[in-house]
Amino acid sequence: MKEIRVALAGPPNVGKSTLFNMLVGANRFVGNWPGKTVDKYEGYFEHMGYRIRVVDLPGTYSLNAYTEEEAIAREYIVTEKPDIVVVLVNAVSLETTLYLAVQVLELYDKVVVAVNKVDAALKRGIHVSTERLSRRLGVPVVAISALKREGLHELVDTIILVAEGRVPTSRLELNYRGLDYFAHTLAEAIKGCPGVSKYPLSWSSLRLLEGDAELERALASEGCAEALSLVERVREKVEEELGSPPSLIAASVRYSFIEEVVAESVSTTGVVKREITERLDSVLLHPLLGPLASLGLILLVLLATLSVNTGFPLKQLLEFTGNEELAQFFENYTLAGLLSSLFDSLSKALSEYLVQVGVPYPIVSLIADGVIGGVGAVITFLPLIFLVFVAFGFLEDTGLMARIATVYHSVMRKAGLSGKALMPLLLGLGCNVPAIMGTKILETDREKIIASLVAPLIPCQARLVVLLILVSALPVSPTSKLVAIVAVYLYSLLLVAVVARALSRLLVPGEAPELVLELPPYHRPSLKVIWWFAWDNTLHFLKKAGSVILGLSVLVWLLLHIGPSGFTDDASASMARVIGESLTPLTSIIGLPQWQVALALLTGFVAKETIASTLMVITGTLNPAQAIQALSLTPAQVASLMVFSTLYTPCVATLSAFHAQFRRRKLTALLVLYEFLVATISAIIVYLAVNLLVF
Amino acid sequence: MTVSSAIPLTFARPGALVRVVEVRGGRGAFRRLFELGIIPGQTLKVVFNDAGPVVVERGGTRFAIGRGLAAKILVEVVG
Repeated sequence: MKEIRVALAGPPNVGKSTLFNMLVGANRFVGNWPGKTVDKYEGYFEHMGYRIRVVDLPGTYSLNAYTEEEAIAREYIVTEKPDIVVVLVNAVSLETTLYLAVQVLELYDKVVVAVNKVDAALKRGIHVSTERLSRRLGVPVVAISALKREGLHELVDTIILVAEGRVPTSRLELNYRGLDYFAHTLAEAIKGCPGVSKYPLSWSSLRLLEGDAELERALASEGCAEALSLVERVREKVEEELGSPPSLIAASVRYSFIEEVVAESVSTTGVVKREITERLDSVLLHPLLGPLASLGLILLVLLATLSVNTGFPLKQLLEFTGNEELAQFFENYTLAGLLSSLFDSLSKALSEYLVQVGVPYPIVSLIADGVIGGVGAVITFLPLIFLVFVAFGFLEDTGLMARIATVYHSVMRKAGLSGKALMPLLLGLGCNVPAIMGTKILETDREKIIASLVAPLIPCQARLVVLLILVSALPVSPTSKLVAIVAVYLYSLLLVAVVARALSRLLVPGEAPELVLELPPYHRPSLKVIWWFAWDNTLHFLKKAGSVILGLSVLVWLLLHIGPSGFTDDASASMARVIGESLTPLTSIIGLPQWQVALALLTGFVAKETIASTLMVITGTLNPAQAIQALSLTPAQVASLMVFSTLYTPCVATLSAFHAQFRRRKLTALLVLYEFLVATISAIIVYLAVNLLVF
Repeated sequence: MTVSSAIPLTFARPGALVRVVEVRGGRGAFRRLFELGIIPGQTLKVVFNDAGPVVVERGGTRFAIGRGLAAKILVEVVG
């Protein structure tokens, strides 16, 4: 059994002993630190095949080695080099308790910060963003309540991840302004001194400047007296030149860093009065009213976020009710519409300029269409993701999300998911990307994976466009067209339920998740918290998924513009055609042997809405009906194409979001393969069924 | 010994104060239950208990517990 040595550090009264006892239970031993009078608490527990040995360091406010306790704590971290140091801080008094954490982080990099008493903090309306803390501190941060045993599992999992080196951590390096320069000169002088060599060089030189009895002793005893007198001189010089003693400068740098971190990651809001909680809960948790009220809330959120971004479903509703002009207005003035026309004119202007200055046309096309197109695709997603997370942040922060999750739990449970999954999945009707990112709010990894695997089955707005275009080419009555589209939707949603259930059986066979959910007191939403949540997630998408989307967009551009005989503007002379042709044996299975269709499906991988337009471009026709005529597709073939293009491999952006979420190649491959399989089987059935019905 | 007056949490009336006597079952959701402090000896106030999940309150915090799980929590009514 692998052993992980964990040192537990924290200031007094932060709940360190509670955490220690909760972790090790009865397996604890009390002894003495060698040569010291302070008690030494040690214990162990087992988790996931690891034996985790915990040493409870004495509670100290800092690592200055002024007291015996501080010396022990510092000595242990430096000489014993535990696999992990867990530093406890108190969510209720973050500012004061972070001081020790900062000191530990400056000394050692294998650190996990545990924010204790988050429950008590939340009750006072104090939100701590562990993500932001973690980003600033450079190590994982976990929220816990040692007393209530909350978050301990996650803490232990994180300990293992860091110990195994699967999560990167770094030593904190603060900018000590002028001090750094002086510390650097000292570093040269003490480099060879064995007494301080066990400490990081920059750390010990700074500590010596600040005044550290233990380090000074070490220098003196190891025959580095010269260095010691240099320390004295430099210290005086600092005071002369910077106007204050180094110790004061260092402490104020640390505190101003802490203040910054706290300002960035803590927000305080008022808690709503109890009677209001009572009244709201009696509606939102009511067996009949609750689901209705929640559904209303969800629809409102969907309508608001999606309409602002893409006009869907408001535009479609307006069209349906005959308000064509208003619908067109919506089409043009949504965020996505504005951004895409912005990128269109940008790429046009750029290509004109590039042609003028004599750049060869193929390169112009690559930059203007391939790169700008790819960047545009990434950027147009950002407002949508941001707004969706604003809505999520609002629902979470107010406490409404927990109520929605509660009333829909029993329905979602039938699909092996929890009530919380309803919200991100419904989001998929607009766009699968925020749906997958939204699964972040789910409690367990298992559920995140299941929900993210099924989310791409939900027909998004882009696929609705394809469906509408394809169905318009069918020689049937308007009612039958509507029935066809509704049938595709119902079938997709049924698949979501079936696949989710199957996955939950396969991934972890056994019981479906039971509902145990804390219903937090209703909060007035904090704009700060919502902003953090939305902004962090948008940045995450940009960083993690952006490059993949851009890369794949350029790749597909290359495939469409490079042919066996070099650069071409004609897709039918490109590599894509070669690939399309080589794919026809596959598409023949679903009744579609035309290479043009295979090519259209290939471009649909970048963005699904291009499936229909590609068909028109290749056949040189002006509308889908003509395109389908030109390819002489039968109704059964069109139906097969409708089903296949709805269900097959998700688009580049969705796939990138999925991969960015889990970073597990096998899982991403599973998503692609199973969707392909499901789409193929479904399309075959539809093809055969329609053939039977029509002829 | 005395005859136990324990009933499943699902049978407790709204408004009642109950004390957790026993939690029958194994791992999984139970761990979460314990993390939330729903453990034998604790007193809970039943807030809602009709068709949906049972909602209880402990120390001012509300929890929703699925009916399946609630049926495995044995409580005695204390008020």
